[in-house]
Amino acid sequence: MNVAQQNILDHYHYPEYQGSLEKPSHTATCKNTTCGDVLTLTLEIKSGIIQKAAFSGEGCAISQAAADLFIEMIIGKHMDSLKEYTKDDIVKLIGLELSPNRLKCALLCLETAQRATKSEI
Amino acid sequence: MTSQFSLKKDFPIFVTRPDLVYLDNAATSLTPSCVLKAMDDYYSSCRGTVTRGVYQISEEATSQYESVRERTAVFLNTKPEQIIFMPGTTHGLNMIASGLRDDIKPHHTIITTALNHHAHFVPWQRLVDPDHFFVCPLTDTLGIDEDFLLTHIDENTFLVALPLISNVTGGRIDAPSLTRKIKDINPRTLIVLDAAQAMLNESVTPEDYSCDFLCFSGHKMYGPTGIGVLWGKTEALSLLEPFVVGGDMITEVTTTHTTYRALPHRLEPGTPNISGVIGLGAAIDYIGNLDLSQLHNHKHGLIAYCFDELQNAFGDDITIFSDPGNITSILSFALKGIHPHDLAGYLDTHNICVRAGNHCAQPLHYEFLGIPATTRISVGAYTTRADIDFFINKTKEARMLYQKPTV
Repeated sequence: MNVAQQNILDHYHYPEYQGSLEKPSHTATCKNTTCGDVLTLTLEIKSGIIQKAAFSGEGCAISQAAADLFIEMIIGKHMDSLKEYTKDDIVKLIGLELSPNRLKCALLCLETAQRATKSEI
Repeated sequence: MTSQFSLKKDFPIFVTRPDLVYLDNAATSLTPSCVLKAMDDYYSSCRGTVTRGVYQISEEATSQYESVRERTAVFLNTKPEQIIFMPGTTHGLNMIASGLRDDIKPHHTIITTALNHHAHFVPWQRLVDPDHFFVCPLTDTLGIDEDFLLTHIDENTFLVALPLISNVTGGRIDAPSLTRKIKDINPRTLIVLDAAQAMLNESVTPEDYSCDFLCFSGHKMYGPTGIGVLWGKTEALSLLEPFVVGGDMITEVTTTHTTYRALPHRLEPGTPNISGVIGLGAAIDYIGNLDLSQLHNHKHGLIAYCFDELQNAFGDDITIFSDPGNITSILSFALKGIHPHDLAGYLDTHNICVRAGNHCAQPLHYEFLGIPATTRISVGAYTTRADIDFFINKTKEARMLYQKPTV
């Protein structure tokens, strides 16, 4: 197993940001219909800055670990920066070559986060 | 005991990929050389259109095309004019639903089941209001609840949509008995059977069922993609308003009106999938030359073996969503500690193809099994016991890798 694979498994087994914020300002849930992954993100955004974030849901190691890594990356960033992230950023974050179907699992966090920014509670 | 029956030599993909372990036959089957050759011969020797050319290669193509209709009719023990060629099961079911749309009245109800694939669910769901659409639940052994089904049949039941074999559990329904019971209650209720998973698991003869329509796909029975068959009773097919209109299916078009040809051409507009039909004919001939009873026993034996091996390997940590008393060639399961997509991804690194997800059966997974995804394996004529053993061993490895370490 290479370092990237071990990193994914570590984030899958011991996620830092799994859960749900008590008072989120933004939230969204997205599904990956191919494999049944479900991801809910809760965000606390103040003055445009992402202060806190958490994810919950069910899914494969890639989808869950990607969510954990993604949250780690976006905390402290301006919410507008979420619009700028692309597929390539997520692939770089994961560090693994992914087939098109596995890529959908990895990108679920990005889709959910971008949708969450449009859904202020 | 499983037999040594294996037809790998007939399937050229095993020359290109000798290590391939293909366990996704419920999604699509592999293609034997004879089917590829039949389609290639058409393209290289009589590549003309059908039914409308007055030149030799067109007449040859037409003769081959119509010959497949006749061979398909023999295969199903029915009449050629009851065979409609179309792109596949999904298309056929939609042809029926669209063709009957104008016959639906506000009081009508439609009944489907928890085992139905989306293609045999959504076309019916959108024909009636939600309170006129009933989904038959499951029994403890993952069969359909006949009592629920039969108590919901009344004079308003327009249509019942049933699968012959579930694409998730692999369980077969007792179609001859069940369809007769439905017709005994309301002879006018139309019955539509999805035979997509059944064609290589039993001898399908539509007249044995009290059904009005039956659909299947060529690509799940060693034929090419993009071709399938809609079978119907003549009076039932006559009810269908053509889903698509165009060339070749008309007798007369004026600036004020159009009249259609007789069946089956009325429901086959435009230039058809000629090579697909010819390939389907070769697949039917190929299947016809096999010992079908041996083929069925081989596949059912492999799945029964796989069921036992999974149960032995994982005990209480595995839930197999298939009834050991109703085994065909498909089995789905959930294994504690590893998501189906991770398992399928790991197996893929060892050239093992399995399906992970909800297999286009979301109501079954989410609302009846209470699980978002399963791993499905489905075997074919070329699957061997060694393939199953390899799959079991790699599944054990994958689980060791993915399950959370105990502290």
